[in-house]
Amino acid sequence: MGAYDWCFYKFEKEKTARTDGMLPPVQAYFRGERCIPGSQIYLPYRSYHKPGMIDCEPHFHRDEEYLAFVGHDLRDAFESFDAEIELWMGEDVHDMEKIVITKPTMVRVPMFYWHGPIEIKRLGKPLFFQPVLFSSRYYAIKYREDQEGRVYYKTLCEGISPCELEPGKTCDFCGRCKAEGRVG
Amino acid sequence: MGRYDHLVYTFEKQYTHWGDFMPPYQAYFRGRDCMEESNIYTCYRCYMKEAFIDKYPNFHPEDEFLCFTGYDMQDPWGSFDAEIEFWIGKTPNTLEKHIITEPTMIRIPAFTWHCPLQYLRVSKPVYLQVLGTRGKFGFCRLKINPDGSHEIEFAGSAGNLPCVLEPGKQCVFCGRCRKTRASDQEHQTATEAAEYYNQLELK
Repeated sequence: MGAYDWCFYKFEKEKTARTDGMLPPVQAYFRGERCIPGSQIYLPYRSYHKPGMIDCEPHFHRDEEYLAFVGHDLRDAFESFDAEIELWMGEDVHDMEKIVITKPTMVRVPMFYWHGPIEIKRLGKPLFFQPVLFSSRYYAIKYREDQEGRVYYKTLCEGISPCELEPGKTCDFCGRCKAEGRVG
Repeated sequence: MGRYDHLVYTFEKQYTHWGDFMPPYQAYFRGRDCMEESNIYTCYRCYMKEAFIDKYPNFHPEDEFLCFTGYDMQDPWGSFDAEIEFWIGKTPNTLEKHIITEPTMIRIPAFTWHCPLQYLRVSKPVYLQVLGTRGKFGFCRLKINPDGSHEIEFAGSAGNLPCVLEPGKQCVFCGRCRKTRASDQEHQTATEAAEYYNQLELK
């Protein structure tokens, strides 16, 4: 045992919930505080294998996020990249701008900037899409209108928001609800 | 032209001269050198062979993360086969050794001494993702003065790290100078370097 063992996290094989074939059956995900105490970073290590929707609706964070799009094979992140991705971003959820990515790219999403949907329009080779959120856990703030048409902002927060599928549980961003079309 | 073009950086092939343990070029997001106001410093490239690069203990005034995985994001476990030696400690002379043999994330808390780091065995290329949480790379290292006293010296891409080969230029970590260094005077292994620092009596 060392004094700094707590600073080391051996990645566990985390099952992915998506059933559409976009992701591999297991992924490596560093989930901030849940993996190492005090960590203010949240990011995955896995590739996308099919075109389709990564994130279906706009949301924002109160922290910066970086979205890296590179090839899956880190021996050559350029040659192993072959994809077209469409990303929407803006300061106003009703006035977002489309960004089309066709080369290895890093996108900075400043805090409070709306972003999404993110869609892989074409995929020639597996894509390493790595969103890096500077937060100890994942959360997203989304635009909603209630039945009377009043606007409110719904926060989906890991470990706090209720699970969409299993009453009594909290959301762990497993993605099952998204896979089943039940995103709240 | 879009309103948010300044938030989008297309990676350029950065050619390296470090040696055959690195690919000839890499994708590296060097924070504010790539994009105004950005607060991350990170890379997308592998170590291809055994190497001993990070020889001296250093710290940063902010958290840093080091992630070691396999080279292929289709299977970060199946594409990992390596052994890495890494030292970390509260002071530069109380470093403890860790051996990494599986995909691992390391959090280096702010002001924590870390390194040396050596790739002891690289049977498959290793993806090391350095995640610096400031927009400029920089580190603080031990400086031993001729009278035996010591200071903490800062060096980094925001100053105080001049190019070895071209005076007046700032280091861009291209690796061209590596061959010119007096390597016979440097420690040859991470264990040797760490043992040297661990026996220092700092005054």
